[in-house]
Parts: sequence; C-alpha cells; structure tokens
Amino acid sequence: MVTLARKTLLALGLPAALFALWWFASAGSTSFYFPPLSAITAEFAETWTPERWRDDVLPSVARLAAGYTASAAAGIALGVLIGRTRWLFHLTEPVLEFARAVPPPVLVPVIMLFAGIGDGMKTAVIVSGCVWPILLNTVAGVRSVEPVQLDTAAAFRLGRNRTLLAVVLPGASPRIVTGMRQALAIGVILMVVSEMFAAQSGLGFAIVQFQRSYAIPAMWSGILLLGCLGAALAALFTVFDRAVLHWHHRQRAEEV
Amino acid sequence: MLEVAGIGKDYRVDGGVFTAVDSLSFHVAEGELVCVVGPSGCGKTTLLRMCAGLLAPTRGTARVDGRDVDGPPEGTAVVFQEYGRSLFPWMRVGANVELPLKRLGLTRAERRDRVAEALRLVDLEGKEQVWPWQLSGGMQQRVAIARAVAFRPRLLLMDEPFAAVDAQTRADLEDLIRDLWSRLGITVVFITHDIDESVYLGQRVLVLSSPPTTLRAEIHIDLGPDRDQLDTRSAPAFAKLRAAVWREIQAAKRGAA
Amino acid sequence: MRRTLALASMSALALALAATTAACGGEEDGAGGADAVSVGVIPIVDVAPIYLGIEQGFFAARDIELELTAAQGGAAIVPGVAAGEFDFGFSNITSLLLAQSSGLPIEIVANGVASTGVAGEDFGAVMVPADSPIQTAADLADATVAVNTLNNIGDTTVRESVRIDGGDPTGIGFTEIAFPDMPAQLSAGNVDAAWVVEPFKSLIEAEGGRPVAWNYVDAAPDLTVAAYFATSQLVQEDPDLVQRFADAIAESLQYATDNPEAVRDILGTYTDISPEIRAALTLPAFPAAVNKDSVERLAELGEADGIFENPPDVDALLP
Repeated sequence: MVTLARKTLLALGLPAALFALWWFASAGSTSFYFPPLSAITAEFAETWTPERWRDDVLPSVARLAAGYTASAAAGIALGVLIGRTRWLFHLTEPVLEFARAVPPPVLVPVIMLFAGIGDGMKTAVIVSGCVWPILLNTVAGVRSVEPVQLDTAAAFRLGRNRTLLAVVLPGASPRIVTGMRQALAIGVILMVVSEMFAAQSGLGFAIVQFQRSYAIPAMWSGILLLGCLGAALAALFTVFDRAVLHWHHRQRAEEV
Repeated sequence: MLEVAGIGKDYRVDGGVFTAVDSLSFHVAEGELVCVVGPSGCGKTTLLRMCAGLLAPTRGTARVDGRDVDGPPEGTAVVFQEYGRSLFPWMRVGANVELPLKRLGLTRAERRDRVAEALRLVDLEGKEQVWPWQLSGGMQQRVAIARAVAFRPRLLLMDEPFAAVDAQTRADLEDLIRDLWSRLGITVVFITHDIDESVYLGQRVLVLSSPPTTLRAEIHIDLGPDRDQLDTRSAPAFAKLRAAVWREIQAAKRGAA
Repeated sequence: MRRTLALASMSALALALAATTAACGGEEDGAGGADAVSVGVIPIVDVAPIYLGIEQGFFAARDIELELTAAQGGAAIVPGVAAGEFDFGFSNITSLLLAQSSGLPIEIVANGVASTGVAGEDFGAVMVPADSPIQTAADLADATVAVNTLNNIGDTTVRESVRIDGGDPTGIGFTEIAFPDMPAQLSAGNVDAAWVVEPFKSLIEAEGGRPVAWNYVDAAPDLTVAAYFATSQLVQEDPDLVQRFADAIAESLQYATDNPEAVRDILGTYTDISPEIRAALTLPAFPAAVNKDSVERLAELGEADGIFENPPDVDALLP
C-alpha cells in the first residue's frame, strides 16, 4: 500500500508542480491568448456543463472508442495473416510502409468523399492513423514468435486455430500491445483532427470553435480537458497492459 | 514403429547443392530405446526433424506406425534441446503440460489427472501453478518431458535434450528417461552428441557419418535392462562399447569409409 | 529515468513559452526609408485590389513596402495581427465584430470588399446541385448547409435570407467545410447546399449547380463584407502610417472598380483559378468606404443568433 501511495504521489507530483508554475507565472497576464490560469479554471465549470459533456465530450470519446476498436481488430487480424504468410509479407511490406507514412490529415478530404461528413468519416480518419502501428507491430510480433514454440505446436499437431490462439497471439502480444499503446496516442490526436472538418459537435470541434470565436479561456479549458482525457486513457491502457501481459512483466522481473 | 528408408536432404547454397544427409535407412521396433550419435554437423537434428514431420526430405521416406510421414505424425511427441524456449511463458506449468491433451477428446478431469501423473513421474509433483521461468533449467526440461509423457505418445523423439544442462542434472534426467521408458513402454529415439550417454541409455546406438551423411555403424548395447550411473558406467563392458562407438565417430570425422 | 523525464518536461515547457513570446514582430525600416509593412490576407478574389495597388505602385508612392502573407482564413489572421506578426490584416466583418466583442483591441482602418447588392449577380451565394429539390431560400429549413466558418458571416446571413423568404432557419444544420472542398462535397451529396464565394460559385455552376439564396444581398443593402484592420495600439502609435496605408487602399479600391479586367488578370498571379473561370466569375464591389449601417446590421444578426458573448461596440471598431 505504501508503494501505491508513493507511486501515485510521484505520478501526480510533476503535473501538480507544472500546474502551480503555470498558475503563478501567468497570474498577472494581460495577454489575450495566454490568460491567467485562474481565469481558465474559472471558465472550466461554466464551459463544461453536463450538456456539453453529453453533446460534445461523449460523442468524441465514443468515436475514438469505435475507431480504436476497429483499428485493433483489423490491425491484429491482418497483421497475423501477413505475419504468418511469408509471400504475403514480402508482397505487402513496401506498400504498408508507404501507406503508414501518409499523414491522415492530408487524407481527410479524400476520406470525406468516401465516408461522407458524419460519424463514419470521423471514425474512418481515426482508423486511418491508428491501424498502422497495430498492424505493423502485429506483423513484427508474429514473425518473431519463438520458432521452437512453433515447432512444438506443429509436432503436437495442435492445429491452426489452437496454434493461433495459444501460441502465436500470446507470443506476439508484447509487440501487439506496444502497437496498441502507440495507436492510442495517435487516436486522441486524430479524434481532434477529424472534428476540424465538417463537424457539428465534439470535444475537438468545441476547442476549435472557441478559438474561432475568441473565447480563449474556454479554448484553454478545452485543451486542459483534452490533456486530462489523454492521461486518463493512458492510465486505463496501463491497466489493460498489466492484465494482458502480467506474465510478461513478471517474467522480466523474476527471470532466473 | 519407425521405418526410415533412403532418407536424404539437400540444401541449395551459393554455387550449388549441399547434401546434408545422403541416404539413411534403419528401423526402430516398438518399445525400443535407440540412440543416434555422430560427429558435429552430421545432420542428427535434420534427421529428427524429418522423422517428426517438421522438415520435408529431398528423397526417401520415413514411416511411423506404418504410415508415411508427410507432416507431424499422429501420436508422436518431440522434446527439443532448448527447453527454455519450448515451454510457453504465458502459461503455468500445468497449462503447458495440458495443452497438447486438449485435442485428444478427454474431459477436463481426465486431463487434470494426466497432468498430475506426468508431473509426479518427472518428480515435479504439485508444481502445476508455477510459472516456467521460475524453474531451473533442469526442471524446465522435466516439464517438457512431462508434457511429452502426458500425451502418451507412441513415439518419443528427443533432440539432444540434455546438451544444455549441467552434468549432475543430466545424470538425473538420463535415469528419468530410462525409468519412464521402461514403465510406459514408449518407443524412444534419442539424438545425442555425448557418446557415454548414448551407450548408457540405448539398446542400440546408430552412428552417423559426416555429411553427406549415411549410417556408419549400428552397435548393440547388451548392458542389460537395469542400469545405474555408478555401476554401469564403471563396468568393463561399458568401456568396450563406448570405445567401439568412439572409434566409429573418429573414423567418421576423418571421412574414412 | 524520472529525472530525465522531469528535465524533458521543463525544457519542453520553457521552449514552448519562449517560442510564443518570440512571435512579437512589428515594423522595421525597409530600404531607402520606406516602411516595411506586413499584411495577412486570404488569397481570394476579395483582396485583388491590394495586389493591384502593389503592382501600380500606390503603396511605394507612400513609402510603404508591403509584404503580403497568405493565410487560410480570418482565424489565422486576427491572432496574427493581435500578436504583432502582421501590421494589418484582412478579415470579414463578423469575425472582426467577434474579436472586438471578446476584448481584442482591433480597429478597421480601410474598406476591403462589398457585395454588389444585386440579387442574381453577386460574388457569394448559396448553391445547390442541379437536381436538388431546394428551389428558394425558405426550402433551406432543415437542410445541411456548408459554410467555411461556423458562427460567422456565412451562417448569420444565410439565416437572414431564410427568414426574409418566410422560412424557419432554426433547423438548418450548418457544417464547417473549407471552400475548396465544397464543390466535391456538394456533388457527393454530403451536404444539401453550400454557401460559397467566387471562384467556387463559378466552379459549382460549371458542374450544373444553381443559386437559391443571395445572402450577402439579403443581409443588408450594399453589405460591406470584409475590411482591413490593425491593432488599436498601431492606430494610436503610428497614425501617419495607418493613414498612408488607408489612402493607398482607397486608391487601389478605386483602381479596381475602374479596371475590372485588371482585377481578373491579377487573380492569375496569386491564385490557381483557371483563365476560363477568371473570365466567368462575378466580381465583388470595391467601394472606397465601409458601410456603417451594414456593419450594424451584421452586429444585430450576430446577436440574434447568439454568437457574441458580449455585444460588440461597432463605433469602437469603425475608423
């Protein structure tokens, strides 16, 4: 329990220090675009009413969840297929490296033509960025599964499905989870980017609209909220990581 | 049980073809414990992989239980040299041993019992909940052996399983194999580079040549069914047999006919 | 590891703070005593006069060396002027009213561009595809209409068009799409209508689209659409420069009014509009002065739609 308290204190320590630094450094600010932190926090409760949470924040998070889940499903499925099939890997590798290098914001007008301007488009934008780290890390993870383990599975005739579920996926899971963590960070950014085009609601949309209508303290409050959202999602991911890879973490810690 | 007829393996290399195994023919009867030795690089592992259906031969055949091997044969278990990497670190010991049993159509209770029995046989009773990486090297290899034993295979192929283990542990594991073999009546093909080990364990020792590999010699080991690390190894008959194998291997290394 | 993390965060924060405070530019003296002046503009039809003015030497004659920077919209220009990156900027009136009502200390210094005031022949309109069931402004009720910026001149004037035609604007779904993307989105059917200005209006017409509302005309007679502005600080500290700039602009506006072909030609130098479209598009009006009544009307429309947090002070904004 002591270590948990200590860890929490350490985790919150730097943010608290930065917050205090910001507070005092900006206290007397008259700059339009950098108001005092006290003004921003005062705006916070006024801006982020329950209606805004329901109409802006929740839809954004929901789209992020949908896009991220779709990316994970597609990325892992395709990654396993490509990683396990050698000719397919060699065929697709250059194309994949090309595709992942294209920044999603550049693709947004194109995506808008295919996917319209509603939730589908925003989710597609998120997928267009999130799928790559998951796909490529899955391919790498699958290709690096211990050959002796694959031989064991083959020798015991475990079969394709059981080999996939009991050997390949768990063996590749550390790399896959790494890809998923990268994708989460990208997803939060794209959630905002997708709402800068043809949006009518959303957290990113609200922040941009505040900026456009010169409601600067509200804009900053939105940015703070976005940061907290990102941090909360990262914390949630750590829980997921510990659950899925608990054996991996213990092994690294305890290995004889 | 295992019929190998003219089996061979070629590899394509820069500038041509490398014949690892030229032609091997031998048989292993049901319930036998046969050891295979040879100089380094003589293709012992290649031979085992072809018998296990993990590698396709270039020519010749292997037949297990009367059926051609064109993929891992039914009822065959393999124990690899790299024990640490053949166990799955995301499963505890019990789950590792249980995994191959899952497609045998047994009930959960039957599987659990087989796992417990196998672990008891390898002297790891009660260790189902331990993680593989919490065990020493010798114990990990025992888990791999338990996994093979629980499977109740007809044929057990072992690829230099004790090469990476220290001498004392190796002695214990050798006795374990003989014990399991005599109790369960499995057919065992044991690949090793250790001459002493091959003589101590086997009923027959097959000596391979250098590449392109053929069968150099087949030596019957008539040391009797009860063997003991101390007494058997110090018996004069042991020394004679050991010397015979050693001479064949030296000749093989020299490339003599 | 933790110490490195702390150091990294501090450095990042310090860098960020330094970068933003370094954005304070300001005028410098150009060669030969002329004032080097930076102006933020949007590369559209509306700013053709200032380009003509440079070409004709109206600015040089007043010892002004202009440097034009193209930005995507008022959203980038207003902050740029406020931060001192630009001396002057070009922006639509509603954006300026918004900025002023939020406390930004800016003032209009010269007129920019106005509606022709003639329905059927203006440089901005609400367009629909050829096969659209929408025939008049009132039909836009409950439609999805694309505008380039929400809560700005586009949606407030479009709502007025709908009201004047007897429709109910409260159900219109305005959605923000950049002008260049609008023709494709309209064709694809992702929006029912799009408020556009030239050259996009001509581009959509070339694809068969037709106008259903002339919102600039409906909002107010002879609507001043956009103007050049500066910070109040500049107006107070260097009234001479501001006056010279305003005079040069006025001369440029007059020249543009008198020489419409020159306007079409100069468009080719700072935009990618094809010669055919340049010849076909409807030019806006370039009156010399800001229409104060129309500015007040835009303020009223904005307040009716609730886009201002505080009521704007039109007098403080106007020159």
